Amino acid sequence: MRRGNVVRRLLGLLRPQAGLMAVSSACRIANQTLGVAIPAVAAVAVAGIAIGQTSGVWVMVGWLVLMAVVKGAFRYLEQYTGHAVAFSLLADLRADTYRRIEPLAPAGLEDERSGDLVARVVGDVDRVEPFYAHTIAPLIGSVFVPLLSIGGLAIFGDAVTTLALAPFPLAIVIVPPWLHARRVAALSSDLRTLSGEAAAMLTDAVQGSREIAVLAAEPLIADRIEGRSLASQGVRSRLAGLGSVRSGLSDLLAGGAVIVTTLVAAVRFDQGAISLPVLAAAVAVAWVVTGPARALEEIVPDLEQALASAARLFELSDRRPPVTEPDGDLAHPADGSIRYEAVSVRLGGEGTVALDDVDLEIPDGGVVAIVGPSGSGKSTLVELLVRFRDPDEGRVLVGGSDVRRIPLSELRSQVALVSQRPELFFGTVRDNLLLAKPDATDPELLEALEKAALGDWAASLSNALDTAIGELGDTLSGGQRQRLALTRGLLRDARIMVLDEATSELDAEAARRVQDTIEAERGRRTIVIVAHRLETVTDADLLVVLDRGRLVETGTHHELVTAGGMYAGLWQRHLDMIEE
Amino acid sequence: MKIPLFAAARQPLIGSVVITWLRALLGAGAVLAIARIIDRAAAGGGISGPVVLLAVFLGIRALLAGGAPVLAAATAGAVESDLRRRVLHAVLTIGVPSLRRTGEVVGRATEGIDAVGGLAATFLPQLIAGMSIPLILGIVVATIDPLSGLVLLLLLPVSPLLLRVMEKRFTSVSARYRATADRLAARFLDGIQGMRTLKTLNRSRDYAEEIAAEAEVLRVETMGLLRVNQLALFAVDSLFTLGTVVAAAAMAAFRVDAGAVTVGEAVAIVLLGVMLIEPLTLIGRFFYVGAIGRAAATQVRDLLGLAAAGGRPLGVGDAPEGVVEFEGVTFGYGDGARAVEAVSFRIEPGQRVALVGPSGAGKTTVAHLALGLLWPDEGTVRVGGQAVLVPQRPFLFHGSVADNLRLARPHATDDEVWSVLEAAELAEVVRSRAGGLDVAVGERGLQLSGGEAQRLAIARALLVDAPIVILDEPTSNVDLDTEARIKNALDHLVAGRTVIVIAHRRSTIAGVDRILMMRDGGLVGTAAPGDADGMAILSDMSHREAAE
Repeated sequence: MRRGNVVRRLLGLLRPQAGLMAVSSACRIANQTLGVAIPAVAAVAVAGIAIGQTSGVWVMVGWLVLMAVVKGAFRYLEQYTGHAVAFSLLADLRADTYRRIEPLAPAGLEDERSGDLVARVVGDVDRVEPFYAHTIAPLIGSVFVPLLSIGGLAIFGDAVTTLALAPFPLAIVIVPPWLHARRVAALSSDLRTLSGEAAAMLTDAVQGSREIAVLAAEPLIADRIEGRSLASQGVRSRLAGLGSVRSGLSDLLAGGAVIVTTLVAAVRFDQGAISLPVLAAAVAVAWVVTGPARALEEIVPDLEQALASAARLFELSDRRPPVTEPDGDLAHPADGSIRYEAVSVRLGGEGTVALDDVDLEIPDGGVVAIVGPSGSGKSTLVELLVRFRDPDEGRVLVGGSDVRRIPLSELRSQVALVSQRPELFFGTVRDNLLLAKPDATDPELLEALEKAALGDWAASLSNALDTAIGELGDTLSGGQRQRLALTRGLLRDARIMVLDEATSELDAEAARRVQDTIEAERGRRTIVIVAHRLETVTDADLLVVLDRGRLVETGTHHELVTAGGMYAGLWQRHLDMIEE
Repeated sequence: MKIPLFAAARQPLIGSVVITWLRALLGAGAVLAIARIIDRAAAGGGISGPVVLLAVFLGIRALLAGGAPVLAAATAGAVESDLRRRVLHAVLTIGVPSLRRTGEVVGRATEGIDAVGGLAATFLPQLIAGMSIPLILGIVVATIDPLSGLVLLLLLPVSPLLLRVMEKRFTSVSARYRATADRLAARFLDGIQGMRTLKTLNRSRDYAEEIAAEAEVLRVETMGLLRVNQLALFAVDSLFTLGTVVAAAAMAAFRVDAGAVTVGEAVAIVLLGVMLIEPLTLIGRFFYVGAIGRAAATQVRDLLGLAAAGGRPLGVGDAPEGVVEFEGVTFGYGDGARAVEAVSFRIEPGQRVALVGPSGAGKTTVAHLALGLLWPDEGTVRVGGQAVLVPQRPFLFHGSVADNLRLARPHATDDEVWSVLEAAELAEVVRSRAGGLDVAVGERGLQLSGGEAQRLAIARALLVDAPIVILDEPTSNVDLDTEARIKNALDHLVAGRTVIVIAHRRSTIAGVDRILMMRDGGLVGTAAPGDADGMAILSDMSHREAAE
């Protein structure tokens, strides 16, 4: 992405805060210009006193005290407004980034390692933030403060001396910060990539800490991360080498300003062109003015990092979402029926066939089970219902309408998908359940928990529904997590409920109780069950057998066992296992 | 006891401070040269001598400026790689469940450590220099005019004091800022990792608004604090200017008025007064880095402190190889409830034991206690030798199949790797994919099917060759065909080892020597598959399976 575009888009986000930002910058300029003016005025005054032309020492001190107080006030205003901008943007940036990524999930993010994605999104947002909070005002200040100071010296002092001084602060603003800017940008971007990788490794290490501890693999993991650190250090020291050149050059220019100005002013004084106070003022301004100008050079590395981070964020958020909201004619599902018409899906770049020309009709209120070996396309089939992806060929209808014509949020409110590996969110049990139905009352929640065979568990919690859920449900068993997801599914008044291997980790007792609950729902909504374990779905109205993406058989349990096809084989093996 | 964070960067840090001192001295020299130039000019004399001196001083000063970034990078690098290793060790020592969210821990280990590196590289040397340079400059002023020097030296404590105040204010503000940012980042991480689930709940769009709303509440709250808190900035900035440049200018004015100093010397005193401010300006410029770094340093220190406090846990002891013994073991997760209470048993080498009971009975906790992932609150756990785990959902690391296996034994040869893959019935699958051992395992092993991931975990366990194996429902979520393969793989793994298996299903416990029944955190009975109790348990499980 072109740098110009990145900068333009970043500035676009700033627009609502432009007023505050301007105030902050103006206060910064005022503060720093006073910082130059105070010693200049002091120098003029002491030189004036030395040659006997003065309005008095106390008057001078009075003026300086006033200037110092005003300077402090500007500093306060600058900081306060600057923080106001930073805090607003911190929220805006995250929410904005989330909004942009949201349409991509999950199919559009499948090739991202979530550790890297998170590093990208979280870390890059963190790096873009100082662009607004700590870059723009200093940038403006570093240009305007020298200009104002030089202007002041030209007006109140001597134009010739000013001409001698002026090139130096201007050169400090123009040359060193942008010296080898390209290489700095490239190296900065390398550094970010390396940091992203290190973050991904660390995320891995933190999430896999149990495995690392059990396998005693800490030294190995530490070495790998160390390797990444060393690589970062290499890039960083090359950046530092470039920084040395810039820093030395800036300092040399600052020194040059003092030497040349002092020399020229002394000669001008010797020629009688300027007075002693003007000589003193010129020296003082030359000594002080390069300070604010140099601020720019220190900002530039951060600026480069911010731009590199912003480019990565924009690259991600610019991806085309795999599914989009319908435009034009909207359709609304009439009931809970489902129809697949000649549906084919290919996954990933290699085009592995996940579903191959599948036709299937599920009536409103029916109970349908989808069975088949791992990788036969069961999950893909149900993902099409909530439009986690769209079919490459054919179409999917819910309630008689093509899902691509139904507004996404309406579609997803009609289909409650309960998956095998649900995510639980940081917060309390209640927080997690309210996600499914924000206005649910406590009795409703408890009733749903009871239905999902979690009633006793909920009653045993130390803080009832306000008990915090540990991260990734570490304090919960797999079965409990699944039942919580099921509770969420039950809370939603959706016409279609899809259980995607949602009870695979339940113990026998809980599985039986959940089975009863599902039985009680029969007729109230359409129920689609994806199952590995055949014994859980023998009562279904219709069994659908998938194998390598193809629909091979449909029928009731009895019909299929009698037919002697693939299902009959699976069933026989199941019986063998039980007999064993 | 304060945990040192910067010890690894001692040398470059000292170098940075020395450079700052030298630069201050050279700057003072340059100011003295300027005084000479002004005085000679005022007297109508030649100025070439002091001009040359000025050029020499400022030239060397610029050279030293070039050295600063290199030293800063060395400091940051040393601090960061040292801390990364220590934090990783801490995380693995404490275990993540007892910490906060993964996102927060990762945030501290990456961005947090970077911030501490930044603190060490840019802010710390400035701070040290800022405290010491005014002393050097005060003495220089005293050589020009003892009285002015004395006054400035008397005002001197003001500057470090003010710096301290300012830093405190800023740190508290930025700690808030950091906490806000961390909290938002953690919410953000939750949202992104759980986006799929949020979408199925039809809530993924609201989530962005929730993040924004939370941020807004925090913003309003923090800005209210800032309004008052930062008034200190106003006072500090004003007083600082008053205490340095204005004080110096006033002294210069009085003394030149009194004829005690020359005009050049008076200007020099003004400029030295300006130099007194420089540390403040520099610190101000790096305040963001410093403040964020300080807040991050506190967090990193907390994390390291937790690990340091841990040490060798109580209630863990050794036993003869292959033996697992629990004696009155009680453990709770800190929410008050006891996950395991007064559990005692002894498993002899080579014995196979099944843990059974309803979910939430404490089976997994017992397994984690035996693995040393948790330490008992009361009682003693004695384990003879290493215990290896095949969990319900094995965690696979990003990298190749070989990478994942060599976690268990870093120097395993390819032959050894293939032989465990063979035993785990995975060799065929790996061989069939382009890349073989180097084939990448997707994030959390998602590109492998559940059954394949489980067999990879079994292969990994085989490579460890530990005397004790702990299996957590290894066949619970796969289809029948895969289940058979996993059973075969497990047969290889359990041969000749002590085995604890967490079991729900009859078929899983058919071959064990002993069954331990758990309920509500307690051990409620033991049985053998052959005896009366064992038959009862087995028939109970059969009934339940039949009822499914």
